[in-house]
Amino acid sequence: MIDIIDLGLKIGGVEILSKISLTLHGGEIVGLLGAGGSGKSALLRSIAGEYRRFDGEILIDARPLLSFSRRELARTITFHAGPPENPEETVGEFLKLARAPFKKMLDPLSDYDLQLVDECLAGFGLEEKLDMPLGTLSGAFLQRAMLAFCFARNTDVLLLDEPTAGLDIRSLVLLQKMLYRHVIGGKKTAIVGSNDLNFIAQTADRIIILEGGTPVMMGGAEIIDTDTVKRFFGIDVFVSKNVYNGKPNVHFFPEN
Amino acid sequence: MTRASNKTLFAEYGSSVLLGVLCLSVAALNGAFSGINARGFFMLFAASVCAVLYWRLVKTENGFGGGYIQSGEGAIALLGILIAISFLLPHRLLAVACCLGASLAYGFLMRLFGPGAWGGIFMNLCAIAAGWYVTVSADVSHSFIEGIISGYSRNAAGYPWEGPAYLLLCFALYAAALALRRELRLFAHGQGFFLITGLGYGGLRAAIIAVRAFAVSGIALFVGLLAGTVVIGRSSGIRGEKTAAVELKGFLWVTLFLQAMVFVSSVLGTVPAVILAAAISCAPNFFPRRDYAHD
Repeated sequence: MIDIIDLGLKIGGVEILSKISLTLHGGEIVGLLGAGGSGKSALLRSIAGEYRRFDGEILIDARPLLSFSRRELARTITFHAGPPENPEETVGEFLKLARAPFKKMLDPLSDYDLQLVDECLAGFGLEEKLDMPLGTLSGAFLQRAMLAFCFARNTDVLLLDEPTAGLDIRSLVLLQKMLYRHVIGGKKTAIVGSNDLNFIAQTADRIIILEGGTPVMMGGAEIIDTDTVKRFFGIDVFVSKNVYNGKPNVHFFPEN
Repeated sequence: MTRASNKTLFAEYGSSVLLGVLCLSVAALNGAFSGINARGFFMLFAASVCAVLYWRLVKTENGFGGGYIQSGEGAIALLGILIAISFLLPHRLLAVACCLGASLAYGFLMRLFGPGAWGGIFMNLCAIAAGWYVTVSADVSHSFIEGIISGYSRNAAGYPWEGPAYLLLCFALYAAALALRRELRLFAHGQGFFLITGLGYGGLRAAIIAVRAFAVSGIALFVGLLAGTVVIGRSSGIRGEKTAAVELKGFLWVTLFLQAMVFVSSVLGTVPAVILAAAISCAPNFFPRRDYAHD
């Protein structure tokens, strides 16, 4: 469980986040929405422990975030970082590196580690890319490899910032399934910051909308409606209901 | 994800046995005809260890690909020795320190200026200044320069403990790099990935630059230009592959190459051997197997 108590963050004297108080439970997929600059990434980075100076408190299972060592943090929280920079690493070898926080120096990967890596490879449909260097993958497959890396870490807290960027529709479905699987045991939490309203509406158990670094609306998928989109994103849209699950589908019109 | 079977491992390492036998044969020829002493053999092997250590570290930093003995960080190390010995004649250990110092300074300055235009300009200015000094200095004789470019492994003078000590140190650093291979691979993917190891990013980065400078200095000191472009540059196919079998094969190839060049230099002389070393080692660069600019 993550408790955020009166969180405030300033970078270079500019207030990025203010007065954020939230409780995020295990077994929950939380979607962060908001226009560009609303503080989604800053909030995710704060929870990831990337900022060491902030007001208020962030507690992970009742323990202050700042009391975690770097290794403990790596074993507890996964943050979706930028793309991998070594194009020569094969997909399979890259994913094995995800288990590093749980290994001491020279410790070989256990059968459990390899099984976890296999599950993530299969979960993101990367089996056929196993021996391919990262540099030869398309944008969508590289993003899938990156996401598989995050899931292979199998930490209690999974933070994904714009995970749908560059993903095709099949990849979106795979990501959605993997998120469900990740939280299904009830202990793990996934927080997804995204501009993809439809993905968040279809996937998240709870949606938090940020504006100016503060949560301004919170609730289930039903909070996504024409008024909300008009208010926070400044455009007119049509919101229908997904015939399969009744969750909102946002349609926008270029001329609007 | 499966583990490699014993059968596969045997197939992978089979060719290394043949290479090992070839290395020993050429080493025996050198022992018999080249007049190279035991200290020299230790230094030759140390140079080979430095080469594989260098390849391992080169993979960790994007934008700082492998240099060559004739240009880049290798040249700086060599010129460091040249200038140092000219001034500090004839204290060998001070020359070793100057070589390492020049490499270290070059490594840190390159990171400071960046690998792009400024780094290149700095490198070329150093090379021009050193070349000018060597050309105009009356103290630097041709035989002296020849002694430097063929490396200390050919030099009969020196303390007996030097060879084993260098080899041990090189092995220790290589063993450390092997032990940290998972961390180094994460380092190669960027700071965001490396931080999951729980180690300090800045500390490891400085250590990589320092050990890389040590490896380059070792190669320049022990074998000089007899290394051709193979040793710290690389031959095609080595950089992109990572298995232990491939690394062992790379080590044996370099050892064989160095032993062969030492033998050639004892038969034909240093200058023809240096030209031959450069020609042979440059040849793989013209094969169309390169995938990346620095392959």
